[in-house]
Amino acid sequence: MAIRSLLYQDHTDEELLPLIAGGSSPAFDELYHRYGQKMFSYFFRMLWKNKELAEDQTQELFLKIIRYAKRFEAGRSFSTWFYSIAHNMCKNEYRKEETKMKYARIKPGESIAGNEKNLDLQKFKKAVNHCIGRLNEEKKSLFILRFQEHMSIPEISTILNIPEGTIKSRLFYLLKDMKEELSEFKTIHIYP
Amino acid sequence: MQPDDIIQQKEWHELTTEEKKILQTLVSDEQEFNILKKMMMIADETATDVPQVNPSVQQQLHRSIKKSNQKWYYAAAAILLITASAWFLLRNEKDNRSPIVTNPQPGEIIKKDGSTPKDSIVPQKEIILPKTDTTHTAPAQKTEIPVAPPGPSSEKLETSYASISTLLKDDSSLMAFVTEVY
Repeated sequence: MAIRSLLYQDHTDEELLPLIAGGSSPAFDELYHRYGQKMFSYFFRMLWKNKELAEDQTQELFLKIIRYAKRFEAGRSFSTWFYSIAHNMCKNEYRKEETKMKYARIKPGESIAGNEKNLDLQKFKKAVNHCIGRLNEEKKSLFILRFQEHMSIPEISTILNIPEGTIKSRLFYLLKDMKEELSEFKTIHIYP
Repeated sequence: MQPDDIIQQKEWHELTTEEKKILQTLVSDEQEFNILKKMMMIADETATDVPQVNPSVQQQLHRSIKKSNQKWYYAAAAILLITASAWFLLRNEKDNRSPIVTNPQPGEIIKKDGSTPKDSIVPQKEIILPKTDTTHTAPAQKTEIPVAPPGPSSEKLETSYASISTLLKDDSSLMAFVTEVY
């Protein structure tokens, strides 16, 4: 790990790719260090919080990078390219109805948040998780990229391959729908 | 600025008139504003509520990198082997392209039926005549059939055949035979 850090920590993601294409393990280690946990988190949140499935998809994603590193177009952002591949992989998983049924281990509304003294806040968190869990693949992806990965509208547009205006419009209606779903908490004290 | 950016970065009482105008289609009052604000905060917090990825994922990927490198080594070795084999075979083929007739005895011409033409140059042979009654006759003598001097060496084979052809051209049947042999 120390050797990886010394050699490649100053390289950009785009500079690491040709090295990985050439079979450099240290360059790959550096890229994995930067994106391994991040992509696992993305898959975990997208794919019904199933750890095994998320790990499988993470492995498959990095295998694609190893295989197709040479196809990466110079001048393009690696991050958005990487996420777009991950997004397409999630889309495929959602299409598999059997997989969706098999891996739906977390019931909608089940919270993984820590202990909260404020019961109302606990309820609110459960409701939020329930709301997110019920989103379809398209809306969930938009929600995660915007509010958890903190990506800009242009970046999301590139990843999802949707025009920016459409992204803004979808984001607006997403927030509106979620506000309606959480309207019961309007009068409840949800601030500590 | 996007509506969600405004909600995340500001409190209700901090909003300007313009910002309230942007948000008016999304939120109608402070309570709705706070619902969305808190939702975004919880979404951000739960982003880190994710287990750690198993180290075996990285180990498995390392093995894949090694395998993909090995393929290149095998491919290079295969190309070298094919090139070497092709060179070796071509070289052997060239060596095997020897003179038209291989004749262990210089100057000897052998017909298909195994006999040799009468005018052909044959190696020196000793012919021993059968013994006769020694009391009345002279003792048996070795008779040597005069033969032509030893034929040319293998290096001069081509020129010697050329000279033979000039001698043989008078004999048409022999010529036909020689043509057939060659």
